Amino acid sequence: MRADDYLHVRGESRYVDDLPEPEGLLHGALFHSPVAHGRLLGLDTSRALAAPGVHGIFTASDIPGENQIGPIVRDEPLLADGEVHHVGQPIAFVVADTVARARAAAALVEARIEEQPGIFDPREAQAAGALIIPSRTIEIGEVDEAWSRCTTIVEGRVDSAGQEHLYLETQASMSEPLEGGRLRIHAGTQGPTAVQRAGSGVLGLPMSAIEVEVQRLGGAFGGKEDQATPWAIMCALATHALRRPVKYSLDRSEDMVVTGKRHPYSSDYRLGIDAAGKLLALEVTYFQNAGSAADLSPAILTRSLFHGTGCYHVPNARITAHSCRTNLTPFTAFRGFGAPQGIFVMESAMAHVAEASGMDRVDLQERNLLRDGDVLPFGMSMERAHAVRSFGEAKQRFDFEGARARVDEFNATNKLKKRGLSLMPACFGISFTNRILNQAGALVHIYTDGSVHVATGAVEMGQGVSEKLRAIACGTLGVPTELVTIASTRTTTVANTSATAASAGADLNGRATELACQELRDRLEGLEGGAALTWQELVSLGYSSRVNLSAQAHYATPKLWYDKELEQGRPFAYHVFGTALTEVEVDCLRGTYRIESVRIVHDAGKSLAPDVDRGQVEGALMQGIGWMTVEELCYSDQGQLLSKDLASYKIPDLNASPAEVETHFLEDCDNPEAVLHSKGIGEPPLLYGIGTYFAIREAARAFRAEKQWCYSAPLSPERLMMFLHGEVARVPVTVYG
Amino acid sequence: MIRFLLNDTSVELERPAGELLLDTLRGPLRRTGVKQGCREGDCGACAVLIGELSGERLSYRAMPSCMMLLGHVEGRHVVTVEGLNPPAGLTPVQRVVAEEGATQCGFCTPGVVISLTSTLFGSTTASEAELLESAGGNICRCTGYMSFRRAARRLAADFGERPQDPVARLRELIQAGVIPPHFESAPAKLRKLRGASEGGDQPAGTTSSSADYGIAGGTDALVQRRVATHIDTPHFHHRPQGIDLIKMESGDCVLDASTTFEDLKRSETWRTIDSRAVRNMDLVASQLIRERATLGGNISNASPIADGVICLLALGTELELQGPTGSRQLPLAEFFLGYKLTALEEGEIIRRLRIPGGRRLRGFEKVSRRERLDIATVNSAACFELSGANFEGVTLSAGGVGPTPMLLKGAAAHLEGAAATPDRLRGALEIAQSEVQPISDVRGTAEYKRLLLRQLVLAHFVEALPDHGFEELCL
Repeated sequence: MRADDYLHVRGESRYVDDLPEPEGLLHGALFHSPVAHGRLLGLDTSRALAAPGVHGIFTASDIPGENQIGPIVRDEPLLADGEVHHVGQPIAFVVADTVARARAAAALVEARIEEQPGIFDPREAQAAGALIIPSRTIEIGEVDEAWSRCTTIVEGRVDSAGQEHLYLETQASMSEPLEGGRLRIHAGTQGPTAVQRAGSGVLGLPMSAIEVEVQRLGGAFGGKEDQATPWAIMCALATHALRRPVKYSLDRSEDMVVTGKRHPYSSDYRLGIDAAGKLLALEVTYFQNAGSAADLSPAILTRSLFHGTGCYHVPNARITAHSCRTNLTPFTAFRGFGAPQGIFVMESAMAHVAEASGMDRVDLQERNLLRDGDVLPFGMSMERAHAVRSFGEAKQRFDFEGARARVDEFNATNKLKKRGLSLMPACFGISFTNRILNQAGALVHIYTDGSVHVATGAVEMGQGVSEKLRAIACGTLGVPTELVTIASTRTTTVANTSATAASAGADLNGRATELACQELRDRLEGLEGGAALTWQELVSLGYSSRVNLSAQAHYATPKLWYDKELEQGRPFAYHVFGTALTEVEVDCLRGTYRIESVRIVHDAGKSLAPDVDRGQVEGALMQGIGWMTVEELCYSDQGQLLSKDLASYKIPDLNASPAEVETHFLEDCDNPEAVLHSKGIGEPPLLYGIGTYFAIREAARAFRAEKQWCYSAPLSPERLMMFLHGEVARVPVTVYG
Repeated sequence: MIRFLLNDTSVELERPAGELLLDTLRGPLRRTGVKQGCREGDCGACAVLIGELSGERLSYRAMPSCMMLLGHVEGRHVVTVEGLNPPAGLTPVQRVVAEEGATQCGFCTPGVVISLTSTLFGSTTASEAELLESAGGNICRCTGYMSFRRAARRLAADFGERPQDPVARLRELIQAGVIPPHFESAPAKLRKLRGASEGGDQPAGTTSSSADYGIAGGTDALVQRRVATHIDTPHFHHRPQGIDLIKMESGDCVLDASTTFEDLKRSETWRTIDSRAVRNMDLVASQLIRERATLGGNISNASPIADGVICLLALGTELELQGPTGSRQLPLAEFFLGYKLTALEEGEIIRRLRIPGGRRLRGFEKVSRRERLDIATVNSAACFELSGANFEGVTLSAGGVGPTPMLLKGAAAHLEGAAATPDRLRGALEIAQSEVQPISDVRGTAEYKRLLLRQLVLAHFVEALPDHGFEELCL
């Protein structure tokens, strides 16, 4: 049991909206753009301002500093100014004495908007030259020359839809005035420093005038990495002007409309193999639907490029990526960060080429798995690759051949029910692809009673990073668990932090914690006569000897480099591997499916907390399954989100979860590149969810072998039904060779 | 003045009866263990235990506090997670949830604890399946639910066989630490509260003025007014006390309009109408919602895809409507006049439902994006018998394929009296297509809904008559 779990099950964990309300608290509400694209000709806030209980309305013209919050490209105003670029874009922030009055007043704001046509399709945007950043290509080998040596070449199109984070706690922030014009923000963010930095720019205050604190998040999954910022800054803007505390907690449906989601991708592929079943050449083009502003899209595009060949070695590859500007809410980080989209394209191409060549798909996969020394298209050479090992172990441990025989037998004897299997290998690079972000700090205090306080930049959002930090501190200092407290995340104790993201939270902050604890340990053990003492005695001796019982440490991941001109480098500290075996059953009468089992071999290095890691594998798997199956964002042709509540946007529930999930951690895996030989865990297992797509596809093809498949996700009951009993596939797939 | 028992304390509030229970609990009462996840009954984070006094004893059910108004809990026991907490340490349910890793970010967790605890109250078996079903309405985005399954398995093993007698069961739960000792004094406290309340409940069946907002379980009404913090002038249609809600009356099955879906699922009488009631009811919403949602509400809301209505239509249900000047009978099939438009006149409410004797539900089919806790894309129900080799008594209903729930009269007529053969059924399926007019919306394209209708009507016959070769129509 993790320390936080005690509070969770008693309902005593506090989230932003649960904090005791400070005296004089005001509540915020948002007026946002009702249209996807237009010129903002005028704004009338007079009726709203006159509404009961209203204390202020803030628009672009009320911003004392710079109206800009774009983290990578400076293309995103906090509040719309002159133009609106997506439905839900914030225009005005209304502050009143109750939530109901703030909302009622926000509904009275009137905007005169001259509507303009919107673009919602990334391919259309690219054709119109609407790009967030210049397109990028990474390349290895001689692609153009390699096609002539291929015996089978396939090409086609793959589409994957976006995905709503659906953190159970909606976005929320509360700001309060401090003396001297300073202020504090309790923000529901993965990136306290990002909020502090953006707040500083918007308010025109030094960063030192803004304190940001995060106790915990009720789930985030990337959705609060960058997109927690605007709500925190709006509260701060009002607090700064009114010198009153202000809280803004988004309503669920509002949250779904105004915040970004996983990027939809539309992609083209061409893949060729030789007669021996070796991958020879690959060409892929991604059209990333970035939405109306850059947000984190360029970084997400980078990760798609770096994972474009999936878990496989392709000697000749050219991967191009366009980040396309459309009139939808800016899409943002979501567990996997662009890698799942790229890997789904690769797995689709693999399935296609296997069937076109008559090869067994599993054989083809196994033959081409990454091995040590294989070079990825951006020049990184594989080290400690466990792809072959985990694939082989999954096949053997879970008796893949036996399962295949059982499924074949089942399909031969059942007319309306069919089963399908898939093996899904995962390979995921760990580190922020932006080298600068790979640094972290820790501040550790030992109090005179021997208790220990650890502060880092890591934000606890359910992923268990606190538990890992505690394990590291306990292990390094040699103290029992109950002596160690993990502090809330505050910009005043650890500064200039990177967001807790990229599966690197424990790697970076854990290593910094280890360094700080080692420093303290060294100071204490260096004392004369210290060796024979208990911890409490040692601490007392340290204090009376006037030893500094606090230590601050900083860690920067070594050996990382990337040359963006050459598109070559070593952007990752290491890779995580694993393989999932998925079995599903399709009801061919009703066009529905059940996931029978998912059995996973996963490389977690030497786990710092095996229970936490198992929970991460199971949770990420389910999110991956949701993305591939039932979760579907639905928009009107005017760019209005239609699936904007839990009645219309469905994430997997208990009943939809596999009857059985077995996770086996690969044994004897060292990893000198991360703290205590552990490995990042948050994102890689999401890739296993892709296996469900291909297992359902196998089952469906057992019912309709002759029909063309359209590589489009999510594979909702509707898409499955249209394949089983409807007219032909909607997107053409071409076969050569 | 609203009076109820909150955890171990009686509360009297000068607040409107139309205020959302969730808002009162989190706001003025500061029970922040109750979480707000969606405000539409679709996540379970705000679940609380509601104890209701009937005779000498209290029975407890888990319900979503976002689907209830203050007026709903007048004179009842409301238990939040704070009311389960021992002074220090954890209850067995809390311990199992924590130890099996069924909590990560913690936001859905209090609701999960409430749901699982409710099963230990209500069930004499507390099987793994029952425990899982009770938590089926608790959406978790972190864990992937495997830990929920582990927790349910362990609780079933620890609490498998329970005393039949509810009082003994309560004592045992207190002894085991599942609930704190204050539960024992709850009935006495509630009786005292009831004595104190002037008027109490509005008498069942009173008519309302047209300005009032009639509300029964609230699971549709409150979803439609999701963002609102209260309903101005609610008129509560409370469940009548001390009568059988579901009973046989001269061969007919008669149901009170306040019958909930969970009542149906539990009713032995209903099982004589629908032998697959447990499977069928599990396809409707979640247990949390089924405890609230009533048949009367399901009908009067007039949604084109109402699951209950689809079953009742096929069963040939007659409605008893009561208005200011008296009551009248109306076949359910004549109740829906258009999209969300009903034959209810001003001040009129649905009192009772009558299912003619001898009707048996032969099939209920529903496909939605997610199998559970979802709104049907298309649903359908069927009644039919075989007389020799021929069909008789055929009725087919369908939802999601037109502006109202509907009977497929042409398709049913084509089968009536005809031989039960694939050819005949093929003809009926074709006729059904001519009877419906689905539209494309967020639940699916019109094209898909047509296909689904065909498959679901076919499914009734494939399932009920497996040896008649109907499956060839699917290949």
